[in-house]
Amino acid sequence: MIKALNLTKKFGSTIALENIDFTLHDGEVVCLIGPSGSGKSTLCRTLCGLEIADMGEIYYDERKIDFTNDADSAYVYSKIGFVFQHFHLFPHLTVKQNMLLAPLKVLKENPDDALKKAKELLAKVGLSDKLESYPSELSGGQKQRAAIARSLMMEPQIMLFDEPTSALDPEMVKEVLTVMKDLCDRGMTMLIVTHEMNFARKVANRIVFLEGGHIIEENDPENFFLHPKMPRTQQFLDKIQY
Amino acid sequence: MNIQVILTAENFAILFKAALISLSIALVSALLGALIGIVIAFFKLSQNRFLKIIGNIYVELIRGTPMLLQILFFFLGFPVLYQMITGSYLRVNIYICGIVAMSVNSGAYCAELIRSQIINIDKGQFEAGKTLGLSRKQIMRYIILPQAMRRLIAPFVSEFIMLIKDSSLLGTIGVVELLQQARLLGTTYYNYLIPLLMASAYYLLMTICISYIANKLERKLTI
Repeated sequence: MIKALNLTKKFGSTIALENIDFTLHDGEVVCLIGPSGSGKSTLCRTLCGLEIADMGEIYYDERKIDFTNDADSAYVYSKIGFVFQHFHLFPHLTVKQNMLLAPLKVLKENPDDALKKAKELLAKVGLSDKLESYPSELSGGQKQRAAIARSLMMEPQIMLFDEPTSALDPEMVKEVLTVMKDLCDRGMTMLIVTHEMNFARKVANRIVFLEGGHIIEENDPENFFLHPKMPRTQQFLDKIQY
Repeated sequence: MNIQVILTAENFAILFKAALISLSIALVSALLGALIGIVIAFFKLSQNRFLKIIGNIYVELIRGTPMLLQILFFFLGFPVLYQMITGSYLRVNIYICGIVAMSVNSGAYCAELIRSQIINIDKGQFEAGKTLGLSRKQIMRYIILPQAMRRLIAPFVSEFIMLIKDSSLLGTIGVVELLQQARLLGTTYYNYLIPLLMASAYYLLMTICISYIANKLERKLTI
């Protein structure tokens, strides 16, 4: 479980998040939706210490987290996996080396066991033949699937996705969403920043709509898309749905 | 004067030996310079303000003064300083003195090259390592430095080529390197043209070969 209380984050004089209260419960899939600049990516990044909040408190389970403290950070990163918009695979390493680096160096796993796990995960994301490939040899969709497999190597309890399909060519979006859907079906706790409304509607237990650094509406997917509580939500949906 | 008198195998051999001296001095200085550069680059990137200031002063001091002055400092100035402090006389070896001066000089330039490559690595690489649970040291060692090193091959090679050419300044303190040897030949024959052209040929031979090897190496390591 991740809980944020009264979270505020500024970039210079721009307020990205203001007094946000947010909870991600175990087993839940939450989609963060909103116009660009609404603070949805910032929220996702602040929750795991990629941005440091100016104010507010963040809890993982019952533990209060100070991201400037190495022990707290280590605790968080042992629990979560993070998937970036631009993948951030390590370009000088093969897919295999990308996947084995953290398990071997952080968890000190046995190399044979780790390799076995890597092969299983690659099979699950449909990249069995790419074990020895370099990231530059993969398509965007393949890169993102490899990146997801890489974070799953650390056996996270929670997966955070920051616009995982926004940098992809349209025909590669589905292959990545399929992998994510598969994770949902296996009960992974997930926080997803996305513009894929149909996907959000299908997989989310809860949709959180942000604008201007505030949470405008939290709702279940059915009501969010069909009967939103807030006029601003309706306005947003009208604009994006053709 | 007949140029055949100067263009002898013997003179080519003399200059070849001098070219080897230039090359070895440049090579040792480049390696030591790279080591100094790594240390100073980490000083400059450090969170520690004291180390940062030391790194900045070092780089500005070296880049802001001529290399010839630095060579003369280690040859003529440093022994005086040494005597003032310890009271005993320091006899400097011109080779060591030359290598020290050139390493110290190269260190400042290497530090800037290394620092700029490290900060140019995409921030996302650092973040990806962090969310995988790697420590700052591990991220540096396994993710950032290997990528920076690959990108450093080309600038390091140009630095090495610069050092080969700059080693000609060491003639001033009596090192008989390639250019100095050419001047000595010029004095012998009362003709500087041919020895200077011969020396140029050796310089070009060295620099072009090194560029060629570096190109091959870089292509092999590029990802």
